[in-house]
Amino acid sequence: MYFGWELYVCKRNRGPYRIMPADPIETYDDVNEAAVADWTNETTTRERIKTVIRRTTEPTPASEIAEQARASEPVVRDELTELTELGLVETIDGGQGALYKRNDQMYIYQQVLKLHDEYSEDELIERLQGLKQTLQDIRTKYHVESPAELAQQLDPDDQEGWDDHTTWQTAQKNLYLAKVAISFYDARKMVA
Amino acid sequence: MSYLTGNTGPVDYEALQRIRDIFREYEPLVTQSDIGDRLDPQVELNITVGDGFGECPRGRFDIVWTERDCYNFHYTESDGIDFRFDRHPDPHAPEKHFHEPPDANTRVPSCIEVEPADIVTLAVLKCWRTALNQDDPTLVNTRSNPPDVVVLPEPWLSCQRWRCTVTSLGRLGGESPKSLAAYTSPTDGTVRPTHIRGWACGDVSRHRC
Repeated sequence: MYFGWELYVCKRNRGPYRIMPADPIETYDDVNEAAVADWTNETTTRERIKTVIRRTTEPTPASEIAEQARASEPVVRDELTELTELGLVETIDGGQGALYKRNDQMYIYQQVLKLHDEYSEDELIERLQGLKQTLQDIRTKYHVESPAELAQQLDPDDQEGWDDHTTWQTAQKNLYLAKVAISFYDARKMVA
Repeated sequence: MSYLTGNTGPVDYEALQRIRDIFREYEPLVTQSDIGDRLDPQVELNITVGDGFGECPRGRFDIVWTERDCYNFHYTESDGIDFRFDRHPDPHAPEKHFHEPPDANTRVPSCIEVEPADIVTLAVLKCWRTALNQDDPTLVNTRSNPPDVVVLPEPWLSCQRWRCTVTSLGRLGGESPKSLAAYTSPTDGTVRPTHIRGWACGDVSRHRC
């Protein structure tokens, strides 16, 4: 990566033409490659593997995770083995070697912990009601029972309709997570 | 309301948090960042930057990211400059597309091809910052800095299968105007973006193969 350090006319200092040394102008041949280079420079291999596996919801070979994380395959295998032992990753024995995905139960548990950090039990109950209302409103608006049914009747460029489709999926996910978080509050009262 | 169409999956709150952190960490012009509530089904991330194009003192990014890696990075200024990097199914454009300034109404292929949230965010920051430093919003959707001039390979010019549409025009100090052209294959809808020298916006029929 090359940074040009030439003087640059700063538009914020127009008027009596002052030449200001502004931010260095970065030059690059391809913004995609430059962004990847920034990412690998600013993160550790371990962080990148974690970032990738957190979003891996289908069983995936280590080679593919290595490619996405810009890491070597042996390092990826080591890290994923460790994360499997911690319960964060699931290792699935495929015929051609191990496949990896995030552990969804652990993902849900982490979401619940975050909800507990951010909401009291009463707030969660209030939110749950709000989410139910959102879902009911969308159902009534379109006379359908699921996002899949809604998708079937939407034109490809119906922006409002697809926005409601995204809202529906988000509300549904949030509803389930809020319910689990409320149950955790209840369970904690029982074991405390 | 988001600008997403198609089956995008739920909004990804964790991705929005990471995008916010990257903006704050990499971009000194960020003055404010607001992320909605974790359980809000229409949550989005708003980031205010303390400089705009021309005389505008600030701009704002409105960002949505979903679990299927669909996104909007919508930039807006109070005096009317709008543009947007998008990825989502769209009947009128490739999945990864760019809505051009000044009003974000047109769609052209995006220069951003990477897909993970962290890397897309870094690319958006570069594209915007490069254009801001040169005070020229037409440069936002530009793959290289300074922009490349790619002379079209002869087979493209003479071939019968590709139709080209010149979609935007940029100018870099002292050099000839550059156009971003999109070649659309009428047979399978494939689009190839390229830069060409000396063509004007709207040059379509003149260059039809």
